[in-house]
Formats: sequence, C-alpha cells, structure tokens
Amino acid sequence: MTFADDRSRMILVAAFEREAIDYPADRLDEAAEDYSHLRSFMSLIREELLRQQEPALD
Amino acid sequence: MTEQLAFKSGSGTGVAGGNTDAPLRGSAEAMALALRDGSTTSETLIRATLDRIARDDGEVHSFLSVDASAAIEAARAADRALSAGDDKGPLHGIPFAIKDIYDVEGQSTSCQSHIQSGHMADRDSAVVERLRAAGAILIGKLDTFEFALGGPSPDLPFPIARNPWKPGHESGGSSSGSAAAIGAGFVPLAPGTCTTGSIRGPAAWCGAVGLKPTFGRVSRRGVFPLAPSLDHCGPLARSVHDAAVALQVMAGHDPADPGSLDQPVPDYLTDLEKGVAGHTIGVPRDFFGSQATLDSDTRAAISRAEGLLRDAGATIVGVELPEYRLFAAAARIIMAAEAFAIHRENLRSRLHEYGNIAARRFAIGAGIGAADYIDARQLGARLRATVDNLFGSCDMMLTAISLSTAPPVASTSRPGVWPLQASPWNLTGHPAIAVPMGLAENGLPVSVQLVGPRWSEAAILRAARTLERTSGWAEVFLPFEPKDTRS
Repeated sequence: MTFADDRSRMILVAAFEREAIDYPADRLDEAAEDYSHLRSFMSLIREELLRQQEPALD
Repeated sequence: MTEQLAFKSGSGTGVAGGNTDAPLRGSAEAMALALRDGSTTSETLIRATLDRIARDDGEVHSFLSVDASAAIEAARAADRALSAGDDKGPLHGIPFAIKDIYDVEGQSTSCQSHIQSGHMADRDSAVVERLRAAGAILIGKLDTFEFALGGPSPDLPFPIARNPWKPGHESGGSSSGSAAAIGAGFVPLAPGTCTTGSIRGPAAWCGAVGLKPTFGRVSRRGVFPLAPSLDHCGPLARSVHDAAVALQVMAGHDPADPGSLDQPVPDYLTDLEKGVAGHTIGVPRDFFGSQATLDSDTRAAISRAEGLLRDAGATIVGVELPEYRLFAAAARIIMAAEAFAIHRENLRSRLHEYGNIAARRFAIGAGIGAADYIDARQLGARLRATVDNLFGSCDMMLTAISLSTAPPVASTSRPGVWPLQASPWNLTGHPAIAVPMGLAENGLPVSVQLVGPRWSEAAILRAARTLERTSGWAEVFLPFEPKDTRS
C-alpha cells in the first residue's frame, strides 16, 4: 500500500520527463510516496522561513 | 523505566571485572602497548585479526574484501621498523579497515553498486594515505549501502552487514560494515562517512564509538561524495582513545578537498583523561524527549550520563533547541538535491544498474527545485547560527543519538524511518560523538551523543572518555571476543 498523493506523483513524473529519466512505471508509486515526504519537508521549510520573516506581535 | 542499564551475560556478551582506566580489550591502545612491551608483534596481531574475520564474519558480513597477503607483508615491515627504532606512533602496526567508498590504490571502489563496475582507484584517499603513513595496516574494505545512501539492498549481490550483537537487528548505515566490524571486535578502527548520521548511527547500534568531526576537519579527497555540503569523514573506533588517535592522524587541511578548512589541529590526547570538571553541559530535553519513539532504555542512558558527568564535576543545565523536524527537513532536502546532481547522468543512462532503493532515493531529487534547495540551505544557516549562539551558554550538549536500540531488520525493500537524531549536526557542521553506555535490556548496545562548538573535538572526546570510563562499557565483552581474554 502506498500513500502518494496525486499532486506529488504528477510533479515527479514531470520532473522525470524534464530530466529524461526513464523511471519504471511499476515502481512509480513507491517513488511518488517518498517524494511526497520530500514535498512535506519543503513545505515545512517554507513555512518556517516565512514565520521567521513575520514581525513579532506585541 | 529502567534507571540502571542492564548488563546481560551469556550468548557472547557479558561483563568482565577489571580496571576501567586500562585500555579497552581489543583497542588500538591495548595493541600499541603490547607491541611496545614485546608481548606481541604486528604480524601476530594481523594474523589473529585475519583468523577472526575468517571464523566469524560469515555471521556478520562486515567485510567486502580482505587483502591478507598485503596486510601480512605490511605487518612484517612494521615489525622490522619498530625493531630498528622507527616508531611511527600509536597506530604503528595496528589493523584497520575502510568503508568501500574510500579509494584504495589498485582496488575498485565499489560503493556497493554495479555503477562502479570496472572502477580502479589510482591513488589512496587522503584518510587511507594518512593512516598508512602513520603505520596503520589496511585489512580490507567494508560493507556499506549503495553509494552510502540506498539502504540494505537485497536485490544487489553484495552482503548486508548484520548487527554483531543480534543478527536479526539492523547494523545501521551507511557505515554499516565499519560499525559491525568494530562491534564484532575484528578491528579497532574503521573510518566511515557521515552525511546525515552514517557514522554515529551505526556506531550506536553496534557498540562502537563514532565521531563526526567539525565540517572541514578531515579531508574527503578520494571518497565518493553523497551530498558535498553535508558529507564528513570520521573515525569509528573501539574506544574513545582510539577515536582520538585516529582523528589526530586524519585531521588537517587539504586543498584537494574544497570543503577542507585550514584550522590548526590540536593535540587530542594530551588532556583526554582530564575529565569534565568545570564544564557546563546542556541537555536539550524537549529535542529528544518529545519524540514518541524514545524508548525507556535510551531515556535511562541519557539520565545516567547526566549523573555520571555531574559526578565528574560538570554542571548540567537544560537548553532549548529549535524543533528537531526543522533540522531533519533541511538536511533531507539538501541531501536529496545534491545527491541527485551527482547521479543525474547515470540516472538518465544507467538507471537499471542501480538497486531499487538507491534508484528511488536518488531519482526523487529531480523533483526539488532550485528555490526549495536554496530555502533549505538558508534554514540550515539559520539553525547553525542558533546552535552557535546556544554554545554561549554551555560548553557542549548531551543528547540522544538514537531514540531506541537497533530495530529488527526490515523485511521489505521499504525500510521504515530509522529513529536517529544525527542529521542536525551534519547540517550545522558541529562535531558530535556517539559513545556506548551499556547494553539495554534486550541485549543491544545503547549510546548517547555529545555535541560541541565547531573545532571542539578535544572537549567532546574528553567528555566521551569520562562516560566510557565510568559507565561500565569498558567491562562489557563484545559478542565475538575470544574467551581467552576473559580473565
């Protein structure tokens, strides 16, 4: 069972096409699931950087 | 919760009596003393090492290759030199082995991958060159994960190093063979590499000392890169003393490594036994204590380490770090992006030659954009500054290295997330050391981690030595230790 979301799968497939990587279709679900974890890390990083830029509230 | 760690006996483990100030059995320090008091020769040490590997490594699978004839020839030369008064120092005539992503002249650096098929190194890596110049004798090359990232890959024709304490449990990685070979007592020294924890993690799970030095301290020339802004070389060793001796030899500026920094190398041995009196040691309790997977043995080990360091004269204070997940996220994105860049061409043309795990983990880096990579680097820089500031209020930190003992070996090609807390200090570049504290109730080693300001290796080694001397670890027998040493 995998838990990759459609958005992660779509972005990863596009990235593989752009990079000319012929990734096996039967292993794409696992790759997309791992990539979804990377996406959550990227979101966390962006949120933290934005949070640090916010002025402190009195 | 167990406040006192259990020391199991039987099944190849157990407790020896004796003087904890004496060199650890099987350590480079003990071997060096025996060489100089005439009770052994290097050739005897090397032959005994080779015999033990031949006898027991079938269970551990730590070695990929052993060059017995070259090792024996080098040992004879070391004995002749020592007899002639040419003493190269504490590693003279001492066996070591090396993770197979380090170049050794005339040998293939397999990186445990078909991609490297046909590779032949034309020069020793800087670390191997320095260790050999110091008289150490290379026994062979050690198991790793594919390109130090993939994970244990059953679809590849390479051995998977097992935990010498319990073969059904992970040895960690990617310096899996290095830690397993030390935990099994085959060699006292086996340098590894560390991008997000590959020195300290396996060291903790296999009962070795693992030191990740400050970024830029040890040259990476001749070592296959994984993520150059996070990659570190450092020693895994039988004892803290052995790690200090190895670092003394390995450290130093090397213009051939663009990440190498030109900082003076202090003497790591002079004050090694001076303890921690007067030091302030911070404990970031929320950093590890808020993690759901923290087990009672690890919690007890940290609590016990606090007590031992306090008894030795240190002041223990609570400190606060940013959330662990921020460090981990930045390190993961940087590693994935940089590793993809290194493997990009091969992923296009030779994808099928990678094992499944490495192919997947390298390829997904294609989905990281430049802005996301830069964001991760920016967050990493801010976290490093935060940790630098924290060291204004303490001399070092005591924290977890693993939240539990080694987990059972994964039965699928999708191993779970390992419960390590090592990557923050790869991200920030601060030196960190894993030091064993004893055996948990399940019979597996449990360790703690000490982290210091940049270039403070001497201080964290000193604290680690204090724990090694007082925790009882020096009295625990390794799983494959010969019975004739149990006196």
